Parts: sequence; structure tokens; C-alpha cells
Amino acid sequence: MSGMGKSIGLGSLTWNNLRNRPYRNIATMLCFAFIAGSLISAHFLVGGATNSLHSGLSRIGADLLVVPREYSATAEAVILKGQPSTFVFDSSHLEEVARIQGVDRAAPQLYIQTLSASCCSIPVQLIAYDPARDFTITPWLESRLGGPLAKDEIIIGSRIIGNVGETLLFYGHEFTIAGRLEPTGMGLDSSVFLRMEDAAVMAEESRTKAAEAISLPANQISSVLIMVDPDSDPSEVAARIQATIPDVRVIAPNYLIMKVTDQLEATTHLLYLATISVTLIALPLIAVISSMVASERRRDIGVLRALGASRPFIFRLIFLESISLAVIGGLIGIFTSFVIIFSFQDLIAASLQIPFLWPSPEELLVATGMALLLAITVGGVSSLYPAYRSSMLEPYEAIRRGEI
Amino acid sequence: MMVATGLVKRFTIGSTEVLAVDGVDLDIKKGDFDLITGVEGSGKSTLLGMLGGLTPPSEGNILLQGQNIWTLSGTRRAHLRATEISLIFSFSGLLPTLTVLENVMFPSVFAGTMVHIDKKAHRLLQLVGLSGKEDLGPDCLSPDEGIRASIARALINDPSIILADDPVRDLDPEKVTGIMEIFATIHREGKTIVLASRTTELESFAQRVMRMERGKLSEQIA
Ligand SMILES: Nc1ncnc2c1ncn2[C@@H]1O[C@H](COP(=O)(O)OP(=O)(O)OP(=O)(O)O)[C@@H](O)[C@H]1O
Ligand SMILES: [Mg+2]
Repeated sequence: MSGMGKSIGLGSLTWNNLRNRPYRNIATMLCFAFIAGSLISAHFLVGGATNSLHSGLSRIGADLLVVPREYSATAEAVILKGQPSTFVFDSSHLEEVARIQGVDRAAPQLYIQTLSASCCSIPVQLIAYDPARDFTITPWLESRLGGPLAKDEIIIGSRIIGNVGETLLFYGHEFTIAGRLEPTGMGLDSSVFLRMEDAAVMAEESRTKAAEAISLPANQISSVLIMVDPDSDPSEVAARIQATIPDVRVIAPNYLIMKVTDQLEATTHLLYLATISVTLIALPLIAVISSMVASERRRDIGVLRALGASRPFIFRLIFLESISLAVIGGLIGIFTSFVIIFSFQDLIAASLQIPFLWPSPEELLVATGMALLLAITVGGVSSLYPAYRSSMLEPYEAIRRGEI
Repeated sequence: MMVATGLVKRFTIGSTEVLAVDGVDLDIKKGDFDLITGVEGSGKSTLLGMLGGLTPPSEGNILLQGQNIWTLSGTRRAHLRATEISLIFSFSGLLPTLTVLENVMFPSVFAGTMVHIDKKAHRLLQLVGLSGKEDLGPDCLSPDEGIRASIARALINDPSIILADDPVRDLDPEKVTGIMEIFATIHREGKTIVLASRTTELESFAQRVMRMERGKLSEQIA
């Protein structure tokens, strides 16, 4: 304890001073925690939703999506939230769509809802695709599995339980898991991809094998995925499809992003507003606490000056204390927000009606940095005046006043 | 060593003006032990505050080893307080968050002399009779022990002059002699000391006794 090892100086003095006034410091730190916490929560939700949309929509891999007009809301729910549904339109639409100028490729998909499946506590959306026309799943299969799906093989979303090589039973039909998709935070996570021909066999057999039979109407599909000509503008193609085939609805992934951003807007506005108001409330509060501390310690400050402390030293002392509180408080707020959002991400995503995918480490780092920066700025700004006042005190005056 | 000429300090409180120090000349020789006595409000603290570089005189000059301390920059003056002039007050002024030893070592931060400072602090604490209390917090010290610690702290940077502003004011009478004996010891070791006090019984410890009355200083020939 008594030795050269223990250094005394600005740093340790700051630390010791902070330890000495726990309650007031906790109050100040809570302010900083709220500031950093509300900012990072706002960032998180927006970042998480956008992240989810981007990875989810890139996985969908189509420029446009054509669905039955009356089911467009249902289709969006399938894509964004994974609410399983079955909806269809006549497969003649596929050829109509494919003929439209600007459409490079068109691939049909059929959505089949499962009410209960052996694998899963959550309802599962079966998505049957046509390997002959598909352009979204096949490239993924090529790159990950080195080839197309074999008979009765399936690709499962990240939330479906089961390992590659294991089998799953749908409508009494046994499928083998060939691969697993990365999490997207969207409906895809609770989807299972299978080949249309296998789906047909499954439906056929369901009459004898399954508790509940399913019949797939002939020549019916749920959606058409479209890849637009490189030279064409997707929105123009969408308009053309819409004009030519009145009873379909064209969904553009970008439109979905806008839609979710809209849904999020109210919440993020609220959070940013909370950040701003907490900051505005905290700023004078922290300044007052800081001033109180400074005037309470007036005599100590006078003594420090008498011992040889310069004005800049006193300024730095008060300033550094505030910054330290900001950093500690900010980190507490950030950590708490992480824990809350992490623990309740499903609940939050469900209640805000948004897809959510945990942001990447880099994004987390940037968000953490920004929240911390805000806390430090508030801490710095609010302590400027008290620090200045304290440093400008005349030492004789400070000691005399402090004594009375 | 320290020469003050024509020192005046005025305070204005509202419309009234207080002449706290009213034309003081003072010549402090190296190795002196000067005592300034005076009743409450006679101007002792104000005078020591000006000599110690804590408050500027309204008029007059203070030279420390030929250097006018009040024409220096604030930072240079702060350095002077750290290295050349040490102040001791009626209260210890120990930082509550540091141990006694750390408090004694603390001014070395401002002087920039950190080498072997802990050994020196131990020795000074022994000098003031606080051996064994190094690692206590200041709260554990009695008032007279606090003053002792502040004397040790005043010595850590080897100042050329020690200005003590009534260090015994708030102490029990039986503790006063112990404190004054410490001053006598460090004076014997060659330190220059100016000690102000309301108490007149301290005269036997000093070489020179001066009396402060309504801001004016007069030398008493014993
Ligand atoms: N900062 C100040 N503002 C206004 N008046 C002051 C100030 N400092 C001292 N005075 C006045 O100057 C006079 C001298 O005060 P000072 O504190 O120097 O006396 P003192 O001899 O140290 O008294 P004490 O024995 O009580 O410490 C007093 O009338 C006091 O009220
Ligand atoms: Mg006084």
C-alpha cells in the first residue's frame, strides 16, 4: 500500500472522488445510462429491422413478386412475419407474366400451410418451387450443396428444428433435410423449401398417410418470382404487369422495406424523441449536480490550488469526473439495452410488427460508439460551466468561503 | 528571502470598502521564524494569502528571492506555490479520498518530483509524530493529528518558506505545544516560517514577534 507503485495524480484523484459520493454519482450515471440506452435502442430497432429486411429480401432473390390481388396483405405477412397461409391463383398467370416485356425469368412457388408438424412448435410454411424454372433457390443450392435437391429433400429455415441428414414428416410424408438457411428475421426463418413434384406426391399420399388430408388444386400456384431484364426498370415492369393482369398484385422488395420503415417510424421517432428529451432534461440536471459538487468542494479546490494546482488542473479534474461518469453510465445503459433487446427481441419484433435480425458486430460497435459519444458529449458540455467556475475561483476566496 | 512593500488589500462589499491590510512592509530573512499575532479580523489571513500567492494585493509588491510573485503568470505562480511556498491552515485540508500517506505525497504531483517521494513522506510523518497512521483515512485522525499531517504535506516539496495561518486556532490548548514544537523542530532544521495566530502565548517559539492591528503591522521588541 505504501509505495511508489500507487500513483497519485489527476486520474486516481478523479476515481477516488467518484467513489466518495456514490448516490449522487449513481443519479448522474443513470441520466447517462438513459441517454445512451435510448439512443442505442433506437439504433438497434432500425438497424435490426433493416438488417433483417436486407438479408431476407436478398434471400428471396427476386426483383418482383406477383401474388393474387386479394391476398397481397397475406403474402406480405408470409414474407415478413412467416404467418403460414395457403393461397393460390391460376397457373396460367405464370405464362402471362413471363411474356411481359422486361421480365427475364419467372418462377412459380406454391405456399402450403402446415397446421402441425412433427418438427416444430411453430406453424411452418411449406414453399414448393419448380426446379426447372427457379432462379433463387437453385443458385444457393449450387453454392452451398454443390447441386440441386434430390427427391424428397428439403431446405429448412433457421428456426426449424432439425439437422442436416435428419428426416421431417409433413402430411405423413418423410423428407430429408439437405440444408439450412441463414437467419433473416423474416418469414423465411420458419419456411421449408421443397420441390413441387415432391409436394404433389405428399398431397397425394396425405389422404392415406396423414391425419388431415391436403389437396393441392391442379394448375394453381401462389406466387411468381420475377427476375427483371438487366436493362429494364423493375418499377416499370411492375406497372406493366399490374396493367396487363388486373387480378394480381406485384410486390417489390423495396416497397416492403419502405413499408416496414414506415411501421417503425413512429417507434423510432418516439425513441429519438426520448433520447432528445432525456438529454435536454439531463443536461441541466447534470450541470446542477456538478455545480453542487463543485461548490461543496470549494474549500478542497482552494486547498488544491494552495498546494500548487493550476487553473487548468482544476478544470480537468471536474471535467474528467463528469466524463468518467458519462462513460460508466453510458456503458451501463448500452449494456442494459443490449440485454433487454436480446432477451425480448421476439416480443419486440412481434409487438412492433417488424422483422428483426440482430445487427452485425460492426454495426453494434458503431451504435455503441455513437451512444457513448452522445453520453460523453452531454457529460462534457454539462460540466463545462461548473468546471470553468471552479477553475476561476480565487484560491483565497475559495478557502475563506469554504470555511464559513 | 521574501520582501513585501506597501501591501494594501481592499475588499468592497456592496458600497462599503474594507481595508483588510493597510500598508504593510515586511522583510522575511532566510531561516526566520516570525510570529504575527492579532485579534479576529485584524488582517492576518489576508496578509498571508497575499504572501502565499492566493490573492493579489490591491497595492504593493511581494518579492520572493527577488522575483515579484504577482507579476508571474497564474501557472508559474501555481508552480511557485507547489515548490517554494507552502501554506498551512487552521484546518487540515486533507483530501478525504486519499490516505494520510497519499495526502502527504500529493503535492509532489504539482512539483513533478516523484522519485523516492514515499520514503520522504514516511520520514515526514515520523517527524510530525504520525508513524503508523500512514494508511489511515483522514477521517480517522484527530484535529491535531490532521494539522500534523498537513505540516508533513507542506514539507514534501522542500519549500523555501512556510506560511502557517493559525494552525492551532481550533485545537485544544493542551495540543498547541505539540504542534508548536514541530514548527520549532523544522525551524531548527533551517526552514523559514511565518506563523499567524490570535494566540499570543506562542511568542516563546518565535524569533520575531509582530502584531497586526486593523490591517497594520508593527514589530514588537521583546
Ligand atoms: N474575501 C473577503 N471579502 C470581504 N472581506 C474580507 C475578505 N477577506 C477578509 N475580509 C475582511 O478583512 C478583514 C481581515 O480579515 P482576515 O480574515 O484577514 O482577518 P484575520 O486576522 O485572519 O482574522 P481571524 O483571526 O478571524 O482569522 C476582516 O474585516 C474581514 O471581514
Ligand atoms: Mg484568519
